[in-house]
Amino acid sequence: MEALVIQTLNGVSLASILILTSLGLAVIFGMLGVVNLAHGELFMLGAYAVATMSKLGLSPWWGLLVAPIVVGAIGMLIERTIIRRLYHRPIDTLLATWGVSIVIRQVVRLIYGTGHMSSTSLMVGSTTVFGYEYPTYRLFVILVTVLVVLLTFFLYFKTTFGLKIRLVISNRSMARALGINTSKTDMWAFGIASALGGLAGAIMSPLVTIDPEMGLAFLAKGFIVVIVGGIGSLYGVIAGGAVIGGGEAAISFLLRPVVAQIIIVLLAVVIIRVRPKGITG
Amino acid sequence: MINNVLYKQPKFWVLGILFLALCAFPQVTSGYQTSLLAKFLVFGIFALSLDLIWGYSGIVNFGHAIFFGAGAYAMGIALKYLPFAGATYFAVIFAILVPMLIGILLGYFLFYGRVGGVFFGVVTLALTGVVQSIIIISSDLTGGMNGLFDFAPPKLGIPGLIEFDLYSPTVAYYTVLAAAIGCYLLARYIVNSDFGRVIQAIREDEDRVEYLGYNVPFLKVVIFAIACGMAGFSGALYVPLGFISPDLLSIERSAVVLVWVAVGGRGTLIGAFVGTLAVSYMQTFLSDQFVVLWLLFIGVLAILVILIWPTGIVGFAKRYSLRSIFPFKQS
Repeated sequence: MEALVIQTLNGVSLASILILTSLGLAVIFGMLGVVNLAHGELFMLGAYAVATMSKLGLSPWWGLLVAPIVVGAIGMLIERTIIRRLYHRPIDTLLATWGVSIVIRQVVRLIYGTGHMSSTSLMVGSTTVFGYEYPTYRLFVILVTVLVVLLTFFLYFKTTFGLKIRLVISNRSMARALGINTSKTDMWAFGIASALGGLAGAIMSPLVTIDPEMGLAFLAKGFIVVIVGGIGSLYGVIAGGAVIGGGEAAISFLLRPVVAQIIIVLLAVVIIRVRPKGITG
Repeated sequence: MINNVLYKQPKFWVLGILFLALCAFPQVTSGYQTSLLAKFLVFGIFALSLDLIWGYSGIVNFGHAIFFGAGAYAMGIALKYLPFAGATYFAVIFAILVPMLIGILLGYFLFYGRVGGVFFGVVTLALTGVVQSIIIISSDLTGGMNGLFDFAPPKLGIPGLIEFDLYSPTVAYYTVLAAAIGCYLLARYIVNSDFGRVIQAIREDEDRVEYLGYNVPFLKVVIFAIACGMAGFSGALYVPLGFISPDLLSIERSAVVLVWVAVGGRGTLIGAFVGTLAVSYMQTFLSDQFVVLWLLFIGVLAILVILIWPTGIVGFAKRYSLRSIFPFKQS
């Protein structure tokens, strides 16, 4: 029974992490039709923000605050300088953002060195859930994910900015005809999505090894989540995250984690074949 | 038809001089230079296979190194377990068939699942990590992180009568040169055939080709399988020139091959070789010691080529006065 509860919580926290990471990807794709291969590196930058704060002797909570702001700004810069020129060439955007991801990785290497960093943990200890001990920080991750998802939904469906975004998605030229500055909406959407990536990295930083390569694994998984869930929809991200995260936790329970990761990606490929539009599509 | 009108035969003497220069190369340079060029030509074949799918059918593969690595591993494993003379030929066939099979499987799931365009690239990227993990954990067969070694050295020729050791730089070089020319001609034949034209039509407008009654997913699987087989072949050729390790399937290798093709010029075939040689020689001159700076440069190059120079070197050559010397085919 204990194993079951713990494993379920593991699944939920894994799913939360995946949802947090993939949310930004889904926003960018849904809004701009752009697949951002540098998203993993934005995630990595978020983690480095926390590590830097720890290194400077400040509370890692500052890192949590700084990460989305800095990473969001970097995202906007990328959008203005590179992505904006490539909206009509989706496959080329892929290569360009791939280039961006390499550049960010190498710049981080030049600044911080090749080795890995660690951040001081934000929370220690465990909390009792249904009578079983579970690390408090993992519960915090779940809570943050729920809050961020609610906030994103609120932004998307209840604010004027969200209305503009949805209008641009459904009919870009009509939006422009109605006087919406689509270029500005694009920039902000990209910035927000990047900030989400940075936040996800910052939240994850105490749980993983922080090194320049860390973004790649999360990027790959994030995309699997987005595709399995249903491309470009916010609900899809949640469904995809739940399936992939839950699945991985369940398989890890039985087999080695490496094998579980292999199986889950292969399973995702099969799911795509059966349900090309994703589980929510 | 229109294609044929635009297509001017390259000047015979230019190709002749180029061919003679390539043939004479091992005679006038050191063994090191010879094996270096052989290695780059192998990479050129690898890039050519990517250009076939990326430049002609619009399938962008961010995990193309999977097939290169699969070819090299298949070759190594076959050489290890087939101890008889002449095993090299079987090993090479094996090294082509294994990646091809992986390509067909992947293509079946993704192309029939209508995962096209950008998302195909993304899934292949995710698969790179998976395949690398598979190779690392099945260390009994692949040698894991240490890489695969102690296999029989690949030999060409007629077993028992006359044999050439592929570990000799000169033998490797001429083999690779012949292979490169062969692969280029094959690729040229494919893209000029009716099949090749349909493939290019798919790149332009998939839906319209579908309306015309073609089985688009099937055609995509076919061209993808051909490209994967060619990538595997280049991986097999790489075996005598380098080490078989999980590094062959790294994300960096997949990224670099994209840059080679983009720099050379997509959809030109010859651009794959031009880009590979240009970037690879640049890498040796800028020295392998500064790995961090080198990769940074590759990243910047990828961005710049896409933003300001999307047609690559060959596109540039086509547009300007070099046209009279190198009248490359428009595509």
